[in-house]
Amino acid sequence: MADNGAFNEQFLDLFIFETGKYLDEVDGILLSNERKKSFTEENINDLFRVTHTIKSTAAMMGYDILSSFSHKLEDLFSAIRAMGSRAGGLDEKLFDLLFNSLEAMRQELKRSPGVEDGSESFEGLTLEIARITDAMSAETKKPQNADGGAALASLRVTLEPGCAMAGIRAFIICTQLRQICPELTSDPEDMENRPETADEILKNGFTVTFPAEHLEKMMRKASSELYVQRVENVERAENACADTDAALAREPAPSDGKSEAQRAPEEEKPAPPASQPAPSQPASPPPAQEEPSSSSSDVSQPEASSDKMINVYLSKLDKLQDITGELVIAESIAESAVLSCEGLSENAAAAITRLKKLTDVMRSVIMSLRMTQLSDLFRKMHRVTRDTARKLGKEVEFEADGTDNAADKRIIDELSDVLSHVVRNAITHGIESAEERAAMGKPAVGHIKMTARNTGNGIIITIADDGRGISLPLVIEAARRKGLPLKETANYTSGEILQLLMTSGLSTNQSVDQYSGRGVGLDAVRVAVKKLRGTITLETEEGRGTCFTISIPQTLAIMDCIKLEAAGSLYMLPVSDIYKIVVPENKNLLTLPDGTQRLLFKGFTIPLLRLDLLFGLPRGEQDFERGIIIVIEGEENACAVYADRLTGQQRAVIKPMPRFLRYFNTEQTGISGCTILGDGSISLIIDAEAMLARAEEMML
Amino acid sequence: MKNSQNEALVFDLSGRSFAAELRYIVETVQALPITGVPMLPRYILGVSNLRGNIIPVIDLEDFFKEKAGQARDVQKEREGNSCVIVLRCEESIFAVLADNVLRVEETKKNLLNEGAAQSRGSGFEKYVKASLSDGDGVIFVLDIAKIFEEMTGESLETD
Repeated sequence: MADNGAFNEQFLDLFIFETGKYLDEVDGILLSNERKKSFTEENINDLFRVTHTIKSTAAMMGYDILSSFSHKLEDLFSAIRAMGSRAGGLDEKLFDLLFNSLEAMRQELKRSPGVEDGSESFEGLTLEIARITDAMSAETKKPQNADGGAALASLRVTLEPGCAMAGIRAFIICTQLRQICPELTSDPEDMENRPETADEILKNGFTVTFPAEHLEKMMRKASSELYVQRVENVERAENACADTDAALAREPAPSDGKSEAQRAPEEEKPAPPASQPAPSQPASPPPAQEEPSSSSSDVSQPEASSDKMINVYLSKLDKLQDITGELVIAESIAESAVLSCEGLSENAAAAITRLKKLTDVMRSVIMSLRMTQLSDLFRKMHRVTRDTARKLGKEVEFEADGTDNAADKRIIDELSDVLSHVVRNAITHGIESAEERAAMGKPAVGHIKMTARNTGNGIIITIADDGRGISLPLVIEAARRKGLPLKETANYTSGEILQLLMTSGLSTNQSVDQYSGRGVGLDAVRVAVKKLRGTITLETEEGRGTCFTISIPQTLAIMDCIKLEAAGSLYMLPVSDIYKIVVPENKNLLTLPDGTQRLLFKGFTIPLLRLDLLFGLPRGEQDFERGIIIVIEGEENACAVYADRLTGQQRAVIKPMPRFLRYFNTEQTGISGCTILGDGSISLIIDAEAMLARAEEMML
Repeated sequence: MKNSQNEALVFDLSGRSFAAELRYIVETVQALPITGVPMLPRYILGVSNLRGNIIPVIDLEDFFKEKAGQARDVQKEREGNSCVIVLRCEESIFAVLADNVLRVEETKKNLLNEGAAQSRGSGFEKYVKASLSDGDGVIFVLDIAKIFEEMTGESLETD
């Protein structure tokens, strides 16, 4: 039954993915409402719907803890909703509790279903939620809203005009509905035995009342019965006519029926999982925020209509992208083969041109498939801002701009950690306490602005705070204390400050914590950005704030490379890694007693790495001056790479080295990947970082 | 399909007949051009492009020799290696050179010797899982998992 296992696994993946999305949605709603400490009715209905879905699907997938916890949350939201307008005074504690609950649920999702060892993290939360729920329910004093109480819902069923034997018909419908819930009561009662009720039923319809948990199912069932003209959800008590809009057409389109049913209120009790949509159901988009404050509503914008979207495994897209890369190569091979033929027909040439155009289009479509909007990333940062500020007792608002930009999924995933780091740093070390800010004449609430913009071949993300900025003299002093080499003059550019800040060691210096704590982890940030082939710069003004600018290419799979030949082998070096290409001159070459070589470059001596020696190839015998030198510059050092020949430039589809070779640490030897050339042969891609590391070793 | 557990692909390498069990074998193809990769053990000749997949290619002969502490023939002729056998082990794909792929053989038939590999000998004997009689010669069924472990495990330790 291996198939079955794979099937279940797929469902599990889907469940985890969708539940993650739902939790994100809740996150977005909470974030946008935290400031005004209340929920709109629409918001609370969404929260309710989402937790309800999580509850049932979790139960179905065997995540019992998650399911019962969602149930508790559902009770809580239900209590909040029952309070209606009185729920304005929701306090910070409630939001903290909800945010913590989300976190716990996310953690739980990472566990295997049925594993109980995570339950303790829920216990405290469950108790707290139950306490608040009880308190609220007591306040509302509505019996039907008591925790887990027998809340009732009613539907008014109207029959088609002219329907014969309305009383009997109504009775049959009630009998059908009793299959869902035997406790169902009808008004008028006893209709099958009292023909006099038939007229009334025909005129006004009849009402069925049942526990609210069955509402959705009942609604669907009732609307599908014969002779039923419409089914209305009758809201009991004061707002009885509020819901007339929710009337369902006789034969509702499935999607309409669902969303109407879900929006319908009064669902206090859990429904059996089977009554819920399967986990494969696409998430309905979160509703647009009514709140005017643009800063937060940006973050939870509704996504595109869900029924026009499908979920795809990333691995399949990866594969598709790989194949397209191959196709482009195969196409160029075919092109050169065809074009070199004698007596080439015009048709063949035209066909090749067309093929080339099509593959180009296809490649760009596939690249765009991998593009994901930045909105999730921004929402995450909003959350990080909120959590960090809360922990430190600061007030910080988060502004986002450009969330509709897109970038490769992998880049977004990797960026998430980097940006969290920068945001956390900005709040911890950049933004001052409210008193300090007031003293400086700044608004008491700190401000973090995150923007994204597209530059055609890459994406630029900025994170700006209006905090205290970075004090230049203090950084330099700390660097001096650390014994880092410093320039004579104090004319440091912001880039150089960044470099100083990002030097590990300086960052962990406790004595200068009030500002250089900013350096904590910044070297990690630099490395991560570098890994994405991006750059990071900062601008800072003391007292006014700091702005980080991170520039990232939109995709990693294709790079422009130069082709280098050494001892007969061809290597590629990404153009982005090149600092300068230099013509070798003997007068600039130094050979040290230990045999290593140095290049005199702009007044510095930098290590010279000969590719042939480095890669254990037979040493080329050609004259030094006939070769070519590529200077690579790192953050702290530079090196020169010597090759026999520069043979050109090419756009390369980057492939990782085979898995098998990872056992042999190929990455440390200076090869970061490979690419397939037009003739089908393989060329290795030189890893500039590894070259710099090698140069560093040489200098020791 | 059911018998593939007990079947092995027989191939020639430097005048000897070896066999690899079918469960490790992905496919066999004509010898491909190899691009050398620096800083690897000598028995890893480099990588080949197999329909867009990058596959490391291993010379088992060099591997056996290296493990036996023998020097490798620097100027070895490689003309004989006419084909490549692609293997899969622990999710890793790699290929070994062969002079010739002969046929598929039942490993339970004509069994001469089974079980513990012989530790004596000049290299390959360490990795023989069983030997089969083949008319006038012997076919050595190789323990691919052991070879894989030896290659990857060793390099993990030494690096």
